[in-house]
Amino acid sequence: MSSSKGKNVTPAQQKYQMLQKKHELKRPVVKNCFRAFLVGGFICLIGQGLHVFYYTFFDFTQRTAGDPTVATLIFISVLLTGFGVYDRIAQFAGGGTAVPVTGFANSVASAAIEHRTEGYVLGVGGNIFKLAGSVIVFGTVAAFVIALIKTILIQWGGL
Amino acid sequence: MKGFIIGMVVLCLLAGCQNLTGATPDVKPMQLQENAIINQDQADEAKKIVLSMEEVVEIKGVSDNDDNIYLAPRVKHFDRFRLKEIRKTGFNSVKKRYPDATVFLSTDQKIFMELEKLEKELKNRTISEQRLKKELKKLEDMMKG
Amino acid sequence: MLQGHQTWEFENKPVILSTGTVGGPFEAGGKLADDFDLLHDDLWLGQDSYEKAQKVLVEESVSRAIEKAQLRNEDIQFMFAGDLINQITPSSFAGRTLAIPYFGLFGACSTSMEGLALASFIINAKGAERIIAAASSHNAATEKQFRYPTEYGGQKPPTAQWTVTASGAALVSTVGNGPVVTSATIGKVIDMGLSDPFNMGGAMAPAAADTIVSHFRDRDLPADYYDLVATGDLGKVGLPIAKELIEEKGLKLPEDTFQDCGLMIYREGQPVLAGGSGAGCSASVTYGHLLNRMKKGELKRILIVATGALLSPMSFQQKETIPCIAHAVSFEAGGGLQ
Repeated sequence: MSSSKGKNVTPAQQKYQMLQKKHELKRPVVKNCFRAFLVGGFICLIGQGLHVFYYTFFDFTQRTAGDPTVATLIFISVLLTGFGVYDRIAQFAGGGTAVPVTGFANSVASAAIEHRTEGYVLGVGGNIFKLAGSVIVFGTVAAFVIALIKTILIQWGGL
Repeated sequence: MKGFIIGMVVLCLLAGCQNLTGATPDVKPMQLQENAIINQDQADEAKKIVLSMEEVVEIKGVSDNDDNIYLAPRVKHFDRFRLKEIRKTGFNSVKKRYPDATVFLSTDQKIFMELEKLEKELKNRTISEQRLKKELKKLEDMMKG
Repeated sequence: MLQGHQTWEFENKPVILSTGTVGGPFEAGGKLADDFDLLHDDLWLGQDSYEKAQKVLVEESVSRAIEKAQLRNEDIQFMFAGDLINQITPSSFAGRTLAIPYFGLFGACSTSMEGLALASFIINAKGAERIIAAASSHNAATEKQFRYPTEYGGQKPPTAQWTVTASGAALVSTVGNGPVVTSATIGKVIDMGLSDPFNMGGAMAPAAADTIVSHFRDRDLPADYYDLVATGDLGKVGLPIAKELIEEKGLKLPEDTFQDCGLMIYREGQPVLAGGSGAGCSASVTYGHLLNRMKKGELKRILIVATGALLSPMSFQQKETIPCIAHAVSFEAGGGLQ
């Protein structure tokens, strides 16, 4: 990538890009990591709390309590997205809100809200997986490849 | 303000690690013996066996008249990575002692809580044989599910 | 008329008879809230889509400008308008409602000065008596088209800019009172090989610098000729770069006379990262705040350099770099037929 880029750049462009680099505001990586750690951890803490709540007060075991926990987190995330709060938290937290299941819910809900004006079929239906679509596609592809490898190993490798 | 927040975070981290490093003393299993309406000898013995395992810190267990033993050990935090193995060893050692009994061993927190409740009720003699059977049947389903 | 390579001088002094500026809720909380003619507290403007809301912005700003000059739509010969949305529908749809003969323009955020330059040229050449030049942008509509859904929780880098929800319209006339347009420099499309759509300021700075240098060269002006040279949305990143580029070319603008519309419009603490942007930003700041200051006598001569990043969502996904453009228009207080 960088080598093909280098070919097309004129000396003037190269010189400017150096100058631009000097002035460009850098992403505060360490600060972002720290914030992501705290907020992401906090979301997980809420998740753990819900988990304990579900198996203590309802007929769920530790194993099955995972389902209502995830459902609750998704519901909260979608609500916050609808109220327009989630993107603000995300601007602060970065990866902390994007990586947990809440980030996925947000990407689906935000796309649905955004394209509501184009109608339910072509707008919401057609665009709801605009952002989440690639996650699903590559998740499925990866799962397929892994399953294939596993099957081959078991069938012929005798594992 | 900033210093305060950092201080709090460090404090939380330290406090969080404390439990993991300090060894928790083993909790004696509740021995029901003659207290219960239903004979709990098998359960009492099985509890001792499993608790003797290094990874187990606490255990609850109940048995019934049909040779079913229900056990729920609580495992040390860092040994939770090997839960499957611990379940297997625990199951096998109980099975060795009572080859004819059906042993149910679960590390699920929910089962632990339910068995604890049953133990108490047995001790206080507030449970009938029928109800115990029903409750245990429910637990059996949960463990499978 | 043509002066140097790419500059028009308007010897007949087209007058900005009146202006209309309309802003959204975020701008109402900004520093220049008092300079807007109309502010909305609802991002939807009571419409059922953001695109329709932007159309209303254009309509309202144009109507305001015409009303303030005590004229009617029929008195206006032409309208030049543009925005950032696909096929510039908000401007064209506003053209449908306003029923003024219409030219649709696209120059990204430089549309504001592109329209004004063309309008002034036609007025200067007596091709019309009164022309409206308008430009608009809407935060949510633009985000939807160029970036992610508004509510999507993606972290933006500190170089990103906040698209302004505003529209500005200027009524240019052959006669009347008001600030006059003295010249305009049309910029070249310049591409310095940057491809990050979250760093428009850095991409647009060379275009702005080139246009400013060309303007001073074509008109043969001293560096301290203008009381204010304001770029349209270079933001925190682009402004110092442009300054450095200009100084490299040997043009040293006096301290504090080189500013940016995108940095003027919002208050400290509003979450706009590197500053405001959008066609409506330079339009509303110039037609509102800056011309008001001119009327108060604080400024005599100003140069507005509106910069535009000529990308589309598809072009940057296809890894194309961002070509940029800048158009400059100079204003002078008082002139015309007093």
